[in-house]
Amino acid sequence: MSSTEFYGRRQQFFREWRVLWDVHGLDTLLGGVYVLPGFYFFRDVGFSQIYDVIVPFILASFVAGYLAFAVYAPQTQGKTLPFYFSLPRARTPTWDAHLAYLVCAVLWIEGAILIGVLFKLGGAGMTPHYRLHPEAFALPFLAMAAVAAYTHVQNTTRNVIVFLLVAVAFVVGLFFWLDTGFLEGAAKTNNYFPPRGFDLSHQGALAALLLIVSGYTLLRVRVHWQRRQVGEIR
Amino acid sequence: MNVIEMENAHRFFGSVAAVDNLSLVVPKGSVFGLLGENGSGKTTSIKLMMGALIPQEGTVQIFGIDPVGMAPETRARIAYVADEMALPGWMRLSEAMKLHASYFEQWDEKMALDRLRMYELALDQTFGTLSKGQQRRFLLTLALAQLPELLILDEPAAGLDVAVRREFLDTLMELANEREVTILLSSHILSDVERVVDHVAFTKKGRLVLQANLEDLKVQVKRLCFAAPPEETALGTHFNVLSTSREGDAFQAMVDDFAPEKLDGWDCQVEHLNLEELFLLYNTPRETEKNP
Repeated sequence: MSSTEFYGRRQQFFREWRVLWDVHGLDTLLGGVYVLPGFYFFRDVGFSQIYDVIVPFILASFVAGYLAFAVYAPQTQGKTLPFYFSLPRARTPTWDAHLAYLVCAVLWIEGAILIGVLFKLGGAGMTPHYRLHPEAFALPFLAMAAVAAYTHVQNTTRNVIVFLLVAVAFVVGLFFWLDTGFLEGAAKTNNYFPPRGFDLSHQGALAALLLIVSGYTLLRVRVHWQRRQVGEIR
Repeated sequence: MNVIEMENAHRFFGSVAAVDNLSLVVPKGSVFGLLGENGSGKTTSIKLMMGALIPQEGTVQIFGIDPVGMAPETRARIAYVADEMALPGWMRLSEAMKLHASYFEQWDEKMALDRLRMYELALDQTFGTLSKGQQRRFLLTLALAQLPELLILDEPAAGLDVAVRREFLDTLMELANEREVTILLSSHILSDVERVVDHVAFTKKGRLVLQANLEDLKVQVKRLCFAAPPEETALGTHFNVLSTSREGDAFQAMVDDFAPEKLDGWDCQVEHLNLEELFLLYNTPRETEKNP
């Protein structure tokens, strides 16, 4: 293989995936396992005909955030940055390959959740109907985008405050969503079959909005990374 | 042929000129010492060479190419080890070697393993458990195993004890002798560097003070020690006098164009200057001192 082929875009892409798999493969695989205990928390076993699959997706958000940090932080910050910078690889294609890996990792984790739904993990007593919420699928992507953004910016006081505010807003939004979306619990009046708090179309719109925000954040991070001079004093 | 060429490079951080109109060339196959005090612009110059910074004015070229956005196949010809460089602490040495090796078409696995055995580093150790000296040795091993044409070392021996520094520099000498590798080495520990470099550049406050072949410099720059002071104007017509000093009747003159035939019958001792003395000579303001 000539040098041109060895360092061609296609070879670079697969090389980045191999490297990420070698370093983070086990964490990625286990990420699909770590979210499954979420089926066993905060559920009305034997009391409701509906099980809203939420907690596994919240756990998936933490796993996605962790993976994003593990992949991006060494390459963008601190004493490890010069090592990764000096590797012979094209900057933007490398970043794209890493993003593609993380997206696939999130899809794997969400696939694991769907497998858990298929096997009705956490169900007992009354046969539960497992109810999925579109916006829950977007949460891990949002977490991944937020952590990617955090790892790429300077650790200035302003940026730390901004991210703390974003984290607080996210938690507040999460509680609002949990509270408003699942207001009506299981009761005799609704035959222990509580309805969705929001209309499915509204949930779909919320999911789309969260995915758009995630995508836009990642695009801004990409552009920032393309322009950033890594040797600047930080 | 020059491997690195910087021409009138400027780099500011705010109002501070980290590199100020710096021009230097690093010849192929040389062991080049980029020397200066802390804050003299060495690291910034190296970052410009690596493409980690873009000069606000001037040009930087490595192998005739702008290092910013350099193609991976060209980048693979360069190895870089910096003082402030590390791997993730949780990463095992075996993982790090595999990661690093995967990026290079040429990789000398045997050499890497031999070096690790020599340094008594086990592959299942994590990077974070190594001492600073061991970390530096490991990073140098990775750099050498990629079989580079250009090795850039930014303060590679800083913070290391004497024995490790010596061994590190011996490795560089061995490398320079065995293979035609161009080595650029920045340091403020001049006594160490003198053993290995053949070209030097002195920097101060981001500017180039001097660039020269070290042997030529040592031949041309001498300290002339006179028991009785000669006539200074006469001295000045024979030599380019950089500085003079007087202690009682004894008189010393630093000249940068020494040749034995120029002594013209003067009775004086000719002393060689080591690298540290040369550096101080060119980096301190020149003045003629007279002791009371």
